[in-house]
Amino acid sequence: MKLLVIGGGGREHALAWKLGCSPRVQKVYVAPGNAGTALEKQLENVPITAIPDLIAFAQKEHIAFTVVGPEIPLAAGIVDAFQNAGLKIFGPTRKAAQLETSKIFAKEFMQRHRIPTAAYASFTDPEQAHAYIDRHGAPLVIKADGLAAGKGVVVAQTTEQAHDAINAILVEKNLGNAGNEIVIEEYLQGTEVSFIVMTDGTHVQPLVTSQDHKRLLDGELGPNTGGMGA
Amino acid sequence: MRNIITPVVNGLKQEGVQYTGFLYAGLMIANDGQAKVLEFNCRMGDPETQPIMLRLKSDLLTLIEHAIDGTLRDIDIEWDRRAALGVVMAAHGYPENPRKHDAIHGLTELIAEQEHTGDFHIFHAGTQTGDDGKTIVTSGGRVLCVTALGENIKIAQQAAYRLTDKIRFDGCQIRHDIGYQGIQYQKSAK
Repeated sequence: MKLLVIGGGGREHALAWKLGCSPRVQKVYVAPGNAGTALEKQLENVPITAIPDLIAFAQKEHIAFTVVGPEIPLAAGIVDAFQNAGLKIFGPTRKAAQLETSKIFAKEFMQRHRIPTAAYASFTDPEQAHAYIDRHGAPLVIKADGLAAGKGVVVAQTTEQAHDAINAILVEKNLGNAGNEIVIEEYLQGTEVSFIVMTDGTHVQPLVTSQDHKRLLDGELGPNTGGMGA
Repeated sequence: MRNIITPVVNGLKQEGVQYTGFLYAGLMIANDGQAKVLEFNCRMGDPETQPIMLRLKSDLLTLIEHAIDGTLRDIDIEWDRRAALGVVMAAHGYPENPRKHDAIHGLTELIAEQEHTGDFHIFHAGTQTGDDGKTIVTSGGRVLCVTALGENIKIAQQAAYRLTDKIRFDGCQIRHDIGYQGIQYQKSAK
């Protein structure tokens, strides 16, 4: 059977490689892939990124199913588009992906379903956000509502840092439209862990636990990155 | 699982939204053991995926087939009991301004060993084939994730760094302490 993996990072190399280990696989296409996926025997890169072109490719090659790696195509509705074209694809629809693509959606959803999370308030008006910071004091966490490639979260240890973050996101618009709205959250203390599952919409299968290392330098120093190891 | 993941999946369903896919919950565990959600991601993490895939023994194709067909309950996922650890080798200037087109050396020798042992895998990210059609060069921030298995996290860490020592490119940035918290945890649990 022929499969398609969308993306070109380390995550997609790992997913495509593991799919390629299956005895039932004929070929795994990776769009667009990288030099590493180009070297794997079961994998083949295809230089396509636009959703209509990916659909045409999946139809032409009789792809059994497609797996989406990154969040950007999910936010753009790639799953909805494939499903509308009658193609099988693994990943959340645009609406379901709002858990990640809108911090305000995620917060309101958790409140509706009593899922434990930090206390919060959301703002579009910088003056109201500044007033909230003055009332509550630091530390606080400021998050842009939309996708910001890992740059949308500021942990403000002082009220000054919090005010600066409001100005950068809501006034100077340094994150573009992703920063049209913000969430200000209570700062939580403790140990950070990640929990990853696979779900079919009803049943859930947990994966093994993991821990990533966000800072560039040893000992949690330097700027935040996408992740320097796990 | 009971307090967070199940209510999320059921809550979406109640609202008429079926969530199919990987779901990543970033959690903060307070000193009293209570977990609160920091964020959700609607996909696997990068680089967490790389060590997780190296430990996965079940057929991923079959797992995803079940997930798409709504029969994920019918299967068990099998894992390698060993630990896996991935070290990212990043480009000069990452994260602000990563440099491209630095030639990467040492990969060819390792690929033969990788196929032979199966105990490690060098996953690529920001790489591309150079103008000569042979050399592999950097093309983005995070370049490689060198991922290795070991009897415990410490041994997996040693194996991963033994491999990164054999790979060279100009301006490579690397952390030398990946897994230190896990190693401490395994030490104290003994």
